[in-house]
Amino acid sequence: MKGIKNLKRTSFPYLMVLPLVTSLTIVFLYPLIYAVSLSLFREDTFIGLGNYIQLILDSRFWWNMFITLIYVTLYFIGVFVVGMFTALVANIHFRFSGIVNMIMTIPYAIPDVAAALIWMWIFDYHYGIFNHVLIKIGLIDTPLLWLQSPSLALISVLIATIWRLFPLHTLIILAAIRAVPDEQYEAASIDGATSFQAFWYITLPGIRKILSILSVITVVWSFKRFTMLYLMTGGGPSSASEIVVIRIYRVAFEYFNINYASTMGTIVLLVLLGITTFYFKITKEEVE
Amino acid sequence: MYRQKYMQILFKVIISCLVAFPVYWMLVSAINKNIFTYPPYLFPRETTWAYIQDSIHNEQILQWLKNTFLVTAGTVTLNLLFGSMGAYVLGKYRFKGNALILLLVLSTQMIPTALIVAPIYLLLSKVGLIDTLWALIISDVALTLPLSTWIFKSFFEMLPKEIFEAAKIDGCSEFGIFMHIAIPLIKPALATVAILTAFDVWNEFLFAYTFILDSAKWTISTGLSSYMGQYLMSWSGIMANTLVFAAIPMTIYFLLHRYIVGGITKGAIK
Repeated sequence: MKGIKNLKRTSFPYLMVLPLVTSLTIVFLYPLIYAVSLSLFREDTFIGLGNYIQLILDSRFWWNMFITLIYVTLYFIGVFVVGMFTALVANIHFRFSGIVNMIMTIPYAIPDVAAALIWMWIFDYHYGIFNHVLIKIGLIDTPLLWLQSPSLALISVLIATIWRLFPLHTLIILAAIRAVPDEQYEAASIDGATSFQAFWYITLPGIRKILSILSVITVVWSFKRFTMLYLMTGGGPSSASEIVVIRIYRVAFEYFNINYASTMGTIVLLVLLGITTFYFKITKEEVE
Repeated sequence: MYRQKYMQILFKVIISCLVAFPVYWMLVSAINKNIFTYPPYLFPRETTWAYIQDSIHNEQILQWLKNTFLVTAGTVTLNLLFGSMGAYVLGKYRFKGNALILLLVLSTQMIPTALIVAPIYLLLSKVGLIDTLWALIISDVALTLPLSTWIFKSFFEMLPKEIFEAAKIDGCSEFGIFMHIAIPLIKPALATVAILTAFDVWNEFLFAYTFILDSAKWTISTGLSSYMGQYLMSWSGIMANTLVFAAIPMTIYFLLHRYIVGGITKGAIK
């Protein structure tokens, strides 16, 4: 009797995590292992590292990685600059400032597909407001094909994507700013510090830890961004804005070459693993 | 001094208007009688509800909305159940494999879905779930579980030990303690996770676009994306559809802002 009760006691935590672990295994872990094994086959024949050798010689893949690097870098800079700026603005207090903050972070509630459609309309060549405003203020003379020209497609999608996603940064940075103790600012203002000095010497060091966590999340999650770019340019024109996740999807579902898509996927995964390991190593050193 | 304060307020209001402009532009384009004018007017000359009425009476859109609601309801229910159960023991118990499971939860958040969507597709087609809403519920539950587990765990960890010890002495079973004592104490977390999960499902496109081929079973995001590049549809019509689609999460965002912000900051920082 006691044995059964003991068994029940020790099995309780396992029974409780079982649904969670099963779900993550079916949808993430198993497909991941499956993908790695698929990368070693061509159709049904085992070819070892054959796909990887093909990949190294695939200049389009290197182009995809190059575009991804640009995409991630510009996205990172954009989302942090806008996020930090709006967080500082959001920190201005007055009556009803809460409502203004909600309006300022409203893109958070706009689904990707909706955001893509709105921005495609804004970027419309003939009737889009973007071209109109830029002509009006004299930045351009003639309307531009924002989403259809190779040199502008990526930057246009980035504008839309940063607009869609910066509120997450605003809200997190704002929470961090508010957690910095007020006494520090009081002491600084007694010492006659300017508001820029207060920001540089008190706010920034106070939120540094959260910024470093947020920066790695930003890089890793930027690889997850698929929908808006896929809908707005589809990686085009030709492959001007084809970041690697778009290429992977197209190879799998347009050319039905799941083996080759899995090979690229495995490489991207290794890169992400490298980034996170590097990050944890650095932060560990910092703590010590 | 006052002048500086008013300048700050003015500045903040201008910035928010700029940020929210695309949303305003969607609204205005959906009710503007004639958007194809040059130059475009910031405030429409003539307005009409016809486009929005067309959208909310469009049977296809209603069907897609219904499908999205079903997937959202199913995903939120399972997510709350699985996430709270798992997070409770991960936060409150010491058992072999605890750290490994936490690593699994954390690392799955890192994997871009575009990398695994093809193997999941193969898996789902093997068990005959392609073209069913279950395909989306199963994958969306896993997609949203890491964040919700993380939020639940941080809430459970804040509960004082003494409550649980007292309940144990009173002879409560372990599951009873979880169900009748721990869960009622984290009600705000349940609300937060439910909202964030619903947002994610409402936003999800890749799985919905890939796993459902039958247009009668599409979710609203797939449905609206199919209007893209159809030149029969006017931008006013598309913006009206988009408005119908985005109005629901926008309303929730305004009404339940507190829960959402609490969840975002907790999930990310902890």
